[in-house]
Amino acid sequence: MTTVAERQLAPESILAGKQAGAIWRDLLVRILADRSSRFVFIASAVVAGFVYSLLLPFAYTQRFSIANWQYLDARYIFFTVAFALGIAWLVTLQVFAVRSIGRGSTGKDTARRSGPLGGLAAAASLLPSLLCCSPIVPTLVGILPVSVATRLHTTGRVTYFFATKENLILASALVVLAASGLWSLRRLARSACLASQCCVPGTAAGESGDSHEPATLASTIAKTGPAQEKESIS
Amino acid sequence: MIAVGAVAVLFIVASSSGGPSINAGSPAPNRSFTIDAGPLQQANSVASLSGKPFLLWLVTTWCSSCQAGTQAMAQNIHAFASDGVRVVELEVANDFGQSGPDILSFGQQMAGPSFSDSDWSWGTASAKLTSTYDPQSDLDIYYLINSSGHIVYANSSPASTMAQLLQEASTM
Repeated sequence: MTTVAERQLAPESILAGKQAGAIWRDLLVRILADRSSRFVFIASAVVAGFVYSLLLPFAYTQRFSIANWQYLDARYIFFTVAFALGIAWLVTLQVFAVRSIGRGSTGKDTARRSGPLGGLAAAASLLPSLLCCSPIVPTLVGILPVSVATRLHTTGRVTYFFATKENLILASALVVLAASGLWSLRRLARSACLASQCCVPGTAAGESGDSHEPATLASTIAKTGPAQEKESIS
Repeated sequence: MIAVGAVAVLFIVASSSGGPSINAGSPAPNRSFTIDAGPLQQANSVASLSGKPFLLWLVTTWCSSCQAGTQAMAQNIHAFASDGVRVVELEVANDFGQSGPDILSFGQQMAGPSFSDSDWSWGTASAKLTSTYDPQSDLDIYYLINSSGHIVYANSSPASTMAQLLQEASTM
């Protein structure tokens, strides 16, 4: 992938970038080649897709029912598929991380750190469906000690926001979900002790600038050279 | 887990809370409205509709369930007619302060050819009617009122409660 000439001419950061890209690709290939991961991905996508297909049109019927499918238009189908794939990818990464590096703490850290962001995105994506047109906002606003006129206006403003900004909220949640997936993948790729094959004596801590983090795969490869690169990421 | 829990709580609240605040069996409070289209253009208050059963339905023109409910009503308007029930669909006063289409554009778009049905009228609720029949500012709420002016059934979102509504209408 990187020639000897390139190694002599290119700065170390460029080499590390190219090698990091190779590590990402290798990690992706490993995940996709793993039968259990494929099963987790497909199962998660099916479950998430089913739930989203019922919940996104919830505002129309106020019911968690198969009847909601009649309100699935192209926009909802797109978001259903996108969220299902995003959540399935996130779940697959976390399961893979825990399975691959269950003995160390890095996999658990990856799952712990990416989980809330993905969960937040998934929850935010459902807010327009649940808060527009349902009795939730009127009930919550009704608790407040305000006048009837203020209550009507406040409820109108809140529900109107969710009714009219639905696409923006869904798109934003999707971006956060995608970022969460990439972040998880990055964390996983940077895990030095992936499958306990790339730990280099003396580089277990502090090399990456993060005192809580072991050396990264990229930095490990940069230090150990091309001869050990294949072994490190295999 | 917290996010999932929050969504679950919202879902439970959405499924179980809110709804009409005037109980079945109570006399329907007399409040005013204006009719913009339909057969009841002479009517201007709840009391003026007495003598025949009717459905008093309050909607906002920008809410999803109101759109779906109007489409569902268009499919079932003849069932109400056969039960002798007239439908009066009113936009809440000032659409709760938000901008949406007017009730006529909304009705024509959502009800299609049924917009001109002889048993379906369209109008706008007064502020007093809105605050009396919808004090919690639900976006999509209805009352089935009998010929003597008493509420016999009340609920929200006809798109999801049409079966119960038709059942109640058939007993009038």
